[in-house]
Amino acid sequence: MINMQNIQKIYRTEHVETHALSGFNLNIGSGEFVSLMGPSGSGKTTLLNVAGLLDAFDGGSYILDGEDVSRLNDRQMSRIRNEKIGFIFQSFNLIPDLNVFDNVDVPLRYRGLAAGARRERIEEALEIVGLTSRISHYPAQLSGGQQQRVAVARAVVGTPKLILADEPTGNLDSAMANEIMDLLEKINDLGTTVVIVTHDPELATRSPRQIYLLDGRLVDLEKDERPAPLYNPVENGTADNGMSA
Amino acid sequence: MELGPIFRALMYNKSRFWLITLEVALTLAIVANCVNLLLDTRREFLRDTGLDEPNLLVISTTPFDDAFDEDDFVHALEEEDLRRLRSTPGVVDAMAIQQIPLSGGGSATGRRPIDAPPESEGTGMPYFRVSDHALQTLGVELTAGRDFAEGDFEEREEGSENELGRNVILTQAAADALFPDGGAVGQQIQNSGGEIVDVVVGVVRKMHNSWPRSEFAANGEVVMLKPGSPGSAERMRYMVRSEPGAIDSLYTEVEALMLQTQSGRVVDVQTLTEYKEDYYSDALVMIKMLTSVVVLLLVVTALGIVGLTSFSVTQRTRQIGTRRALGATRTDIVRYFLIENWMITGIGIVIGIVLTYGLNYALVQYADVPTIEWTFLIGGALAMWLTGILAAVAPALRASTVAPEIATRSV
Repeated sequence: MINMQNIQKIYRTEHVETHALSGFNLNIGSGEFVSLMGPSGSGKTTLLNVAGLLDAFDGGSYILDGEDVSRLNDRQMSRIRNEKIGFIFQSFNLIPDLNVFDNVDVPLRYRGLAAGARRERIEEALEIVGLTSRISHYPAQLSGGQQQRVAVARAVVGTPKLILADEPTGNLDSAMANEIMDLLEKINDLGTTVVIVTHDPELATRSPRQIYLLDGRLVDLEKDERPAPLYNPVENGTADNGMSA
Repeated sequence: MELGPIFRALMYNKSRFWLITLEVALTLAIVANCVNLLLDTRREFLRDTGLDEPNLLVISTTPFDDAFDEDDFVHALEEEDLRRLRSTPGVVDAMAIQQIPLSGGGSATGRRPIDAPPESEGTGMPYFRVSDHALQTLGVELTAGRDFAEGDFEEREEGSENELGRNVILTQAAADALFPDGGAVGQQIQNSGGEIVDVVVGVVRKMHNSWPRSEFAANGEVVMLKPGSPGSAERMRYMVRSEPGAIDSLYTEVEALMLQTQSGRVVDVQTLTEYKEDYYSDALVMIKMLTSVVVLLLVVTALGIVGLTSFSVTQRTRQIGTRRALGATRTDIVRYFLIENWMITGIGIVIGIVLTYGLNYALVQYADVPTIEWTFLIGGALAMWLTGILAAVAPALRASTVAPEIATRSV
């Protein structure tokens, strides 16, 4: 699903050049469930942004679902984001002025589907996350957990091949976090590739494969072999290289 | 098209919606009524006067020499002035006249048909005492009867019967007022006392009197031209009709000519248009003020829309990034904001149309304002709609530059 070779991502300011990802290689197969861990500033979010075509990269090649996405224009990247990728964000990123139905509808609108087909998909997606009864509610009328479930419904409504979740449980209590992880597992069971960024080692253990990042480089080990110092992001906070992660 | 979600989102977050909507509605109501008023005033100013207005010069001389106290001197000078003026290159014709049309200052009397009952109310009759060549100089169009003939200017013997009666020419409006059934030419008309009896010898299509802004005398269109020698020891006035394009050069030339002919008088030369602009000065000031108000209001409204839309874009930066992450192209983002603004402006215009009619109704009731024409309203609505859309373009373009990666920033 994801095949990155020698990816470079450099943030430049007037005086400083920060290598967020340097010579980065990553292979994630179709249907995998992968957790992405690492200390703050290790490049997790940068990797997620590059993988999700939210941000451009400066070198290397990236094959997404068999398609070379290294040199696409903005319109082509928008289409791939819309059709192949579902995003879940830490802060849910629901649109506060839209009700649940319209929020889940957003990616489908950009795909140009007919109203009937969209309604069917939206109802199915809300069924998966168990929120059909909240279809007319606005985000402000929902709990954090419910909002994230709406975000999950929005991510899956377009039946993407890849779900990218950036700290999807970061703003939730443990019970809610487990609920969301259950949902992601359920989605993965349906064949969708899921990649999550998390700081929570316990949640990370629920994914069969965990990837560790340090200073923009990959440490990809089977979970029983992971190095203890990299495991705790707080202890490894000194690795901050100025990136947003 | 995302009309449904955009509308529902607007209804959920009403403050911005109502701010712009009411701004648009109030602007439309004020702008449409201002435009209605200023176009009505402008139309009044540009109304056909029946005169060859752009080519008419007015020469006003005020004597200060004792020689002007002699009537014979004044009449002889008047003839000489006219002879010289008529022979000046670029002059079509010239006449002497007692008062100036369109100037706000004139004379009026009363006339009624000679066979009308004595108790009947006469017609208010603004009149001009004019020399020969009057119709040709003024450029008025004779539609019935004849022009003045030489004999019409002969003074009657002092003390004779009907000494002051003359053969006169009326405007069509004056003829209609006196003889609604037509046939004015050849009819006798008299003043209220019956001691002056005039004979109508001709009718001209139209000529404005000295007070065209007044409702008196059929909005300035009732006029009687009476032949005579208008000059006096106090003032001698002439009107000169120039060939098209020659008026500017004649402007200075005739002043010198008058003083060459006879000194001992102050000569003032103005175009008839200048007299008219002076008479309409308050209306012209109002037109300029209202135009400024309209332009300012449109600019302020446009800036208001730009400001509110820009604020809305800034406020929704993360939301825009999220939309981009979910697959919106830059064009989708621009379209979203333009449609949103189009809706807000559209609803504002609908409310504005109601307000416009309401305001116009009140103005018609309490002020002398014409009923608004629907064409102004359509024009005003289109102007507001375009203003609204154009004002949203820059903020919408700015919104489209928000990067999708904003969605993952923990701001």
